[in-house]
Amino acid sequence: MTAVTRSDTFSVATSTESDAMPAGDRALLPDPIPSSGGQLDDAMSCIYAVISQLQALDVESTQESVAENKTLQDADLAHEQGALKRQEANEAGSGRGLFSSIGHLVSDVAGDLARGKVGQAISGTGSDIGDAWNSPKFWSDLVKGLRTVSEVAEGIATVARLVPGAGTIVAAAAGAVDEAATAGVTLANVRGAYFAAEVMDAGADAAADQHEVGSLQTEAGWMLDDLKTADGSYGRALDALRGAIKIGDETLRGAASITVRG
Amino acid sequence: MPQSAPSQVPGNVPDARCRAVEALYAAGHWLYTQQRIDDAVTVFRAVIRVAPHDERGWLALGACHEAQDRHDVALELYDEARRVAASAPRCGIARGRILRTRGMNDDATDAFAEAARIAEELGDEDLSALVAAEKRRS
Repeated sequence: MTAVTRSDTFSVATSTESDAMPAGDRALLPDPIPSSGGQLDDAMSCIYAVISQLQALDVESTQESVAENKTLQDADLAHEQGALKRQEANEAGSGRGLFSSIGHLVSDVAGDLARGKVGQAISGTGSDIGDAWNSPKFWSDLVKGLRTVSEVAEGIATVARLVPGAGTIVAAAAGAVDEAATAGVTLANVRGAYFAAEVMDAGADAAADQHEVGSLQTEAGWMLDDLKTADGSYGRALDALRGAIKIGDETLRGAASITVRG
Repeated sequence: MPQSAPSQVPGNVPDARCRAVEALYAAGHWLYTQQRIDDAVTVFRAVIRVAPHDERGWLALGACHEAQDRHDVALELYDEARRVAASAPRCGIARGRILRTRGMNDDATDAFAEAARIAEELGDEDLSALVAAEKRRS
């Protein structure tokens, strides 16, 4: 393997590299289980099988949502300026949508994972993230997106039943996706109920409402972090794996194809 | 929601999760060694997602951030590993290296000492050798 170019402080090298390195630079990053061990070969083949099947899944709803939300980026976000405007904003067709906002939420997952500061970040007034958090459109899209996630999870599970040998690896993937999607739907429903109530109480004091928003944001911060990880990281991980395996490992692809064909 | 879908999948789920972690880690490791750091980052995040108690995910994600000269993020990840992972001696060593580079020698020494203690408890000779090498460099 080729080691990553390192800066002065980047010394977390791979074990393969360590053989030719001074003891002080010996690897910290453990090598994966040797591919000759059999089990990993099977696991990697299973991942490829899943990815191959995922490629066949038509996620048109997601693509359509992205296109749809591009037309909504100029929507009025003046829901904090008064009860009347809030009421208008709380109707689930206004505001900035999920797919135009989620990028901000997943912009630095590592930092959020380490600190759990999602709730604090989205409380920032005037920020895009804050606008998204207060946008009914965002939550409406979120539910749609979660349904897509659930469909993908179901597809993964279906693959597990169809592809010999793929069951175990797929079970973990499907379970993780499904678990996160469930948590996300719960969160979205709670938030949706809040907006529904707010529409009925359009004359309520704006400051009091904002206090309620803040409390809910704080309580939901960790839940959103979990959802965000699944919605962004897990999906993009599969994307990365798809590219990696397709481009980088013809041998694995061949082995996996055999697995897919049974 | 396909609540019943995972249960319909054959095989032992805990074992499946372990294999998923190994496969994801292997893929991330390969991406890392290919210098495809952005891709590796997403995969290692998934490793953490599936197995937060496995030190390797945190260590590898931290390594990716170090490769991108984001040492503050790496340091936070290594710190988080100490709190979340079952045992994180290698993250301790990586953390010590960053602290030493920043001239925080006392903190670095403490980090290496903690890693040495864990290595001794585990009876891990390779890890002990790693720690010893770091101590010599300090």
